[in-house]
Amino acid sequence: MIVAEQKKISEIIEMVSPYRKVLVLGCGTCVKTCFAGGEDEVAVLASLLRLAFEKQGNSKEISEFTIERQCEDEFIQEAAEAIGRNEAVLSLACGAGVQDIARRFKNVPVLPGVNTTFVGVMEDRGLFTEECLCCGDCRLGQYGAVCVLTRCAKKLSNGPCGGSRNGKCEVNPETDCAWQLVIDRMRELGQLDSLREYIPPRDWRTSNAGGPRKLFREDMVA
Amino acid sequence: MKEKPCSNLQKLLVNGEFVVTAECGPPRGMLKEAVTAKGELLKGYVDAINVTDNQTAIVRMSSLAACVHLLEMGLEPVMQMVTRDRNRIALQSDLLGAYSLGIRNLLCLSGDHQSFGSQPDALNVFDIDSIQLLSMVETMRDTGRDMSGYELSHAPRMFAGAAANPFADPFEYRVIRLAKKIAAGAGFIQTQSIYNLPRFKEWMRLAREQGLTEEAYILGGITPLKSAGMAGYMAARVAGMDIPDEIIKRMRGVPKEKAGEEGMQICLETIEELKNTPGVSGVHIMAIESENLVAPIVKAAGLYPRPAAE
Amino acid sequence: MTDGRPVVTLFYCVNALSRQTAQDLENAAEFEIRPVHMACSSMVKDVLLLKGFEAGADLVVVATCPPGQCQFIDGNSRARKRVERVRRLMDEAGLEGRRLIIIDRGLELEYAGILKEFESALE
Repeated sequence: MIVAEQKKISEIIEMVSPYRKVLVLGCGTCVKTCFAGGEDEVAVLASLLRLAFEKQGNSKEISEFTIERQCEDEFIQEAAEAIGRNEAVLSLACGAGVQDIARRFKNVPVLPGVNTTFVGVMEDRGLFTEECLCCGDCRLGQYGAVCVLTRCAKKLSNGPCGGSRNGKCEVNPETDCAWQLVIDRMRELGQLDSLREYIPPRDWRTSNAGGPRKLFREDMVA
Repeated sequence: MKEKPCSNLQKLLVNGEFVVTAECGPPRGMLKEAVTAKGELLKGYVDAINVTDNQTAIVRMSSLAACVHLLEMGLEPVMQMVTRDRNRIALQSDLLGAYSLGIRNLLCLSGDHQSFGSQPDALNVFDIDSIQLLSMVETMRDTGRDMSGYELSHAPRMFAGAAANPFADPFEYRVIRLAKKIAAGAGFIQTQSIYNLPRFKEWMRLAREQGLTEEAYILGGITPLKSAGMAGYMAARVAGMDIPDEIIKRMRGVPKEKAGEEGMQICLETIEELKNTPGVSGVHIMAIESENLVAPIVKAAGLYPRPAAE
Repeated sequence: MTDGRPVVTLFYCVNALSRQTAQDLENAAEFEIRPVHMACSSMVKDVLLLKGFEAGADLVVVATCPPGQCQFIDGNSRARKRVERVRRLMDEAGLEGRRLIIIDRGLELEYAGILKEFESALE
């Protein structure tokens, strides 16, 4: 999922303060799962904003709405009416959702309520970890399904650096050394020898280095 | 390594000399004298001087410029190049520039992570890793082509080296990684500072078993301990450093004013062991900010005078 | 809507207060108490705490069982974590998080003692 974290309330208050009628718009998919922008978070944030502006003596109308996904037109249309009634949208979706809403509603400012942080998983209760950089050229098969590009702080392709100690990364002793995980897994799989192979430099064109990426599926076009 | 040596360092190694190199950190400033002063301390006592590239991710005079200052003094530099700060375009360009200025040895590293340095807010690059950098240097040297396959007017013939840490985890992978570095083009290997001799020797045994000491020259890393505090700090804080308790005990067991002597004694014992370890071709002394210790170590270890350079 | 007395929204686990204390509290003369009975304090959600303030509460109180005495094992500690989080959010929004309190001394707590806590939180 896409993992996000709600922005500081003070930052949000400052962002929305020029507008009198603000819609807090939630997204019911990824950001809901990571407790950043689903219905519950929308309710808490909207309530806090109402209380904060009321205390400032600043009369504002803060309303709430959550759709299934802010990155799909079908769902976005469900929010059209609510958006139409407001002067600004505070979107709690990831960066993609914020932009997709803005693309469809040209006359309404759309503000981000969360910081989109990474593509990851919930490794444990309340613990989210980054797993994928969306490089566009997946090599997980070579590395025992551990992404060294994402999970090694130096993006090393050919083995661990000299700072791997007791299975932990020198950059953060609470982070597993990705290479230790690769090696452990390859040993389990009886494929440790395949790590002797030299992995040549990446072609970063498939990544964001080649500019924004597009995917076009001709077969899906009516 | 059969062809004509690229550098004096390589030539000495080919001739079977037990070589001595030392490390020199450029200043956090632009004074040439800060480099040449270190050069003066080392002149005559080492075969080559290894110049760090923004070590510990702290901005310093570029390795390339400091290497040129040493060259002008008639010293042979080993230029360090890390992949942390430059992409492949800049790395190749700097390699060509370095060669044009007379630099002939290149140590290929990934570099300390920027989070350890003075500017942890910086973006890192890591376009390629240290092994891919070695391969780049080797390809340019042996085929005269850059990474795009473009044929250069001349092949920059650099003697490429790499670092190895026999003390990092996972141990079983350390020799595989060494083999990968050598296969990618490393002609010499500098190890992390050695305090844990049994572990180092075990690593060397595995390296010999795989024939790696036939393919590259291994230089054992030496760092003189100056105090018990330094030993404790390095053991606890420096990533990838392995200082056994008995070494720390030895440093603690002598009065403060004798700690330097004890550290020196440990160095000399280590060098003696390294001389007698098959497959070790020399030592690399990393006495950062205490380059004055290099000459006495080299003398006391019986490694002085150094063979004449050509 | 209010008669001038401070308004207290009291979320309480039915096991956390004795029947008598709860009754006394609900009839307290000094405060306008708005009680919310719960089978476990963990049933209180972040937004409900804030809704109490939105509805005009001067003080929102969550009464939980003492640490280690939740009959659903960790309901009280989960309630505590939520209260702490909402309190932090309120502080960030300039809303005086100290007006959201937790009382967790269970049946030991006497009516008078509880009222004192309310008063000091409202000071």
